Amino acid sequence: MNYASYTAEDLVLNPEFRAWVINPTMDSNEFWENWLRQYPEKIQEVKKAKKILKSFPLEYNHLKDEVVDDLWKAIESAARKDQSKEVGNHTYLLNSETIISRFENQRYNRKISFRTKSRKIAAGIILVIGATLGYTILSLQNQEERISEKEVVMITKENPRGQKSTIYLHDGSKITLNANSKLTFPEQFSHSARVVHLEGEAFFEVAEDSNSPFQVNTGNVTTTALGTSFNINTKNNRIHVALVTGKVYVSNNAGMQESNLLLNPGEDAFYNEAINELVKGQFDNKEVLAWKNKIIVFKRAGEDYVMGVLEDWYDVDITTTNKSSLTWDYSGEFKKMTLHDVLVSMGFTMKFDFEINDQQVTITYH
Amino acid sequence: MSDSNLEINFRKSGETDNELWKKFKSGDIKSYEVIYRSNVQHMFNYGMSIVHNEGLVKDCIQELFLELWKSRRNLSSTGSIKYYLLKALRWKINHSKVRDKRMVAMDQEPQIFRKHISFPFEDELIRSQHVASRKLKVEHALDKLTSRQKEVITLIFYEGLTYEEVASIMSISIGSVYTLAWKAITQIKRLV
Repeated sequence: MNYASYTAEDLVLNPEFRAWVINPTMDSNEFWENWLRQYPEKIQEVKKAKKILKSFPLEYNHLKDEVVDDLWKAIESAARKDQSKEVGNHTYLLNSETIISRFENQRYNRKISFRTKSRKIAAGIILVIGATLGYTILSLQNQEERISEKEVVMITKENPRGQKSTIYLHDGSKITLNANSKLTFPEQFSHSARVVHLEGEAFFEVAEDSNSPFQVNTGNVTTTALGTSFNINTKNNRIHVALVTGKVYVSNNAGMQESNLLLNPGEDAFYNEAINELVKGQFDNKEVLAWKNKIIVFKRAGEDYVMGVLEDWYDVDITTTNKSSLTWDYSGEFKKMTLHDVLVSMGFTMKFDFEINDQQVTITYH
Repeated sequence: MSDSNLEINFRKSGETDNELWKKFKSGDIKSYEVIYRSNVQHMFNYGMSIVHNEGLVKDCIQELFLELWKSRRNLSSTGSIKYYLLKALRWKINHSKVRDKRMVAMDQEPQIFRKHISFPFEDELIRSQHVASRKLKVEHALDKLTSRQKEVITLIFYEGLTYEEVASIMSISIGSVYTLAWKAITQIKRLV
């Protein structure tokens, strides 16, 4: 530290100096006495710094005790409510045994053509390639021109509850889209990148094309791949990317911070929006891909969660006529079973009877 | 400032942030409450330096704690909970400001009505009247600090964070933190 050039500002910003002014000790008295002996010309700066600290007027904002208590009560009750509908892991997967066979039914929902947005898309594409492949700026500019001249037609495929579908893109990539999920992609990919948008959950098997990265946008998170297979789940306000084969980059493009993760097979990335954080971990292949293999998996699940999954899965509405005397903490796996058989098994453990009328299910606890 | 009192009341002696955080992550609601009670004043104070809007800051704190609870199993471990929470709160507030454009406007209003004014060196101040009047002048000057300057000053002087921690919370370099703080102090210096 160069004390010779120290000003009052530097002193104020020196933690030891502050500690000395606020709460002097024998040690700090000795230190600053020596210091002044060594730099006697700094006496004015020291006096000024002390004055600044003593007249420091920024307020300290306090909450009143009763406000602190009220706020806690609100947080606690919401947390307890949430606890009752939780399950034990962050990836909750399910699958309908209905309907991969119905994938012909997938609807071409909307065709949006937007010329104005094309430039933005192009810019996004350029950023991604710039980051991942290091293309030259020159060739990208040419690329941008070309794309913006064209109209980009977007296709959206959306699965309702109880329905899963497989989508084949013209580049050869195959996407399995889960129930209650939505995928948007351009009718024609640009030459430089393949960009799609996902809400909900899907499993991607990307056709290899080293010149054109495959990019999945999900809110604040972008997953970029060359040729590879991975699962993305954005349900429950979380984003989870699990890599099965190949390599992907997962990047967080929210806020000022940008973070990138490179995943290897068996690794996953979990995005927590509450704190805008992207964390790398490991995942259980069987559990993450359960939905694709038409298995319903519950791990220590609460009542609301289980019913929600079954409603999504079998496209039914479930109502209960009374309260359960047992605490729901349900674990189980169901493979290719009808709703009737699932409920029989579950009702045995959780002590309920049920009735299925078309799409209405009524549950009565013993 | 209020740190030590709160922590003594709520925290088991000798428990590190790491241990407390781990217990919270495993679903221990008592630990959750300890974390809330020993940090809420710091979070509120810091939040108010980012956006002078009590309702918004309280909402953000509440929302943040709830989200932490919901995703507790997936949170990374931390050696400093306070730092972690301040960082998360900053993100949350800036996020809500973007969502709600009204807040941006309110943020820019001069802060005329100060509800809870207290000073870091209160005893001294009460002793000397002329310091108080000088303080008023300085206070007006400080209203003209940029919001980032206020933020830096709050984190350094009131929350006692290191320059490294402030830099990381605000996603700027340590040099920028120092420059922001330096400029703010210069403004005060002119008036004392």
